[in-house]
Amino acid sequence: MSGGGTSRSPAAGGSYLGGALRIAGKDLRLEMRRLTGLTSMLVLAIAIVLAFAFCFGLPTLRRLGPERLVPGVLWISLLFSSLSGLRGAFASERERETLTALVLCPIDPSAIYLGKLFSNLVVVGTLEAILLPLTAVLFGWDLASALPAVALVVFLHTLGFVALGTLFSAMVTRLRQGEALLAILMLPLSVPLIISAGKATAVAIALAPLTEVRFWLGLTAAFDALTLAASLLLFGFLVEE
Amino acid sequence: MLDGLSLEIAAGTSLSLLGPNGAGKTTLLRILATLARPTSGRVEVNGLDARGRDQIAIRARIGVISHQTFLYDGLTARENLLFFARQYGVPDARGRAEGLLREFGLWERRDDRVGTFSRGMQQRLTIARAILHEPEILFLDEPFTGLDPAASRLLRALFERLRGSGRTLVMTTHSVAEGLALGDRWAILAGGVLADGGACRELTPAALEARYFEVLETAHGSAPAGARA
Repeated sequence: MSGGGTSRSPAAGGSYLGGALRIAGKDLRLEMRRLTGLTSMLVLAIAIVLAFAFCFGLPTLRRLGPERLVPGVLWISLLFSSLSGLRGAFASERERETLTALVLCPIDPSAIYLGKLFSNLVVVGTLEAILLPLTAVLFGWDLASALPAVALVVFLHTLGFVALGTLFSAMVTRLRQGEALLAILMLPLSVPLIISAGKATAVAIALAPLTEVRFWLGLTAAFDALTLAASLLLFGFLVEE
Repeated sequence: MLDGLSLEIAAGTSLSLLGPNGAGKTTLLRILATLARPTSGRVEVNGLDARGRDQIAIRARIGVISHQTFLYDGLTARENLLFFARQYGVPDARGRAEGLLREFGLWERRDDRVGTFSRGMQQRLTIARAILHEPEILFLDEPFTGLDPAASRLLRALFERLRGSGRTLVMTTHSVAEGLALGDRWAILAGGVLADGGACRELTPAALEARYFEVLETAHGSAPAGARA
């Protein structure tokens, strides 16, 4: 078929990275207005941290030390609370078929994935910025001294987890039982990441050199790179019928 | 499902695709709009391959209007248009978005969230969004579904204006009268095949309706229940 005469169509759309950043900006603006995603994540995460803190009590904390307790508490709360946030990443685009509108824009569909990844990273990062000081206060570890190492460890593991979650969120969004399926798909595949996160966070909190967990950090970096590359390659197929 | 369909739509014409539910109208539109991939065959839009490497180039040249708004309820009218204008790489995105808001009578409500708009206002904004990048081809998938009479009248007027602008329009509809009134050509899809077609000016609504039911009776053995209602 052929187009008509008087119109003037651009030869190509906006830039790839610009497109991804605009999608992230749009998602964050919507999140700031609703606050439903971040609020529910925060409530769940804080509830988990508080429950653990009061269950362990001071004697356990003194006996084991924060480096033995905090990694588990931190990553369990982050894992479960961010799962609830990741579920909404694509579900909101189904409401008015806006995902179709995004696919119709003349930018490679993987830019949609990248945009969603950026916005999810900002939301989960905000959650982490609140949880880290909270665990420092409740479990008595030195956040100021450990911050550079902890930030690196948390970022590396969050990137892999959110990259995987964003991809699976797109996969299950059309399915009726999508929410349950997201957890079923995500948790087994995140096992290497969870083990690595626990070990590396313990080392960072103990103010020990990160070279002690070189293997785990290398594994996580490889996991992140592989997940990102696979997601960018596969995303176009996920949004096409 | 579509089967053995061969169709050519000339530039600047308006085609009304008629057919009952499940005839394949939406599937055809989604294939032409690069949203779905046919299992076999060739699809070209403006000489570009809709099945592969030219998809992004095609998307820059088409607009799609459906009974869904394709708009973010939580963003304002202006934010919605600006976002999509920038995604399409429209030069002077702000000027274009604001021009369309004035043109479609939404300027007074430009900073209100779309979720607070009436269905008619949302439909106007939907059309503005679809033509932001001045597409050469517009696909309209049952655009009148769920509209009240006032919003339908408004959409019809806008459709006439788009027709006058020389764009190629492809519209799916259940309504024979609507298809005939708004199209230059009509085609009937039944059971995934192109069953009949012709020029709209050659037929009266009654004659096309008779042809429509004749085609459906041939395709299905009898007209679908309630089709004449």
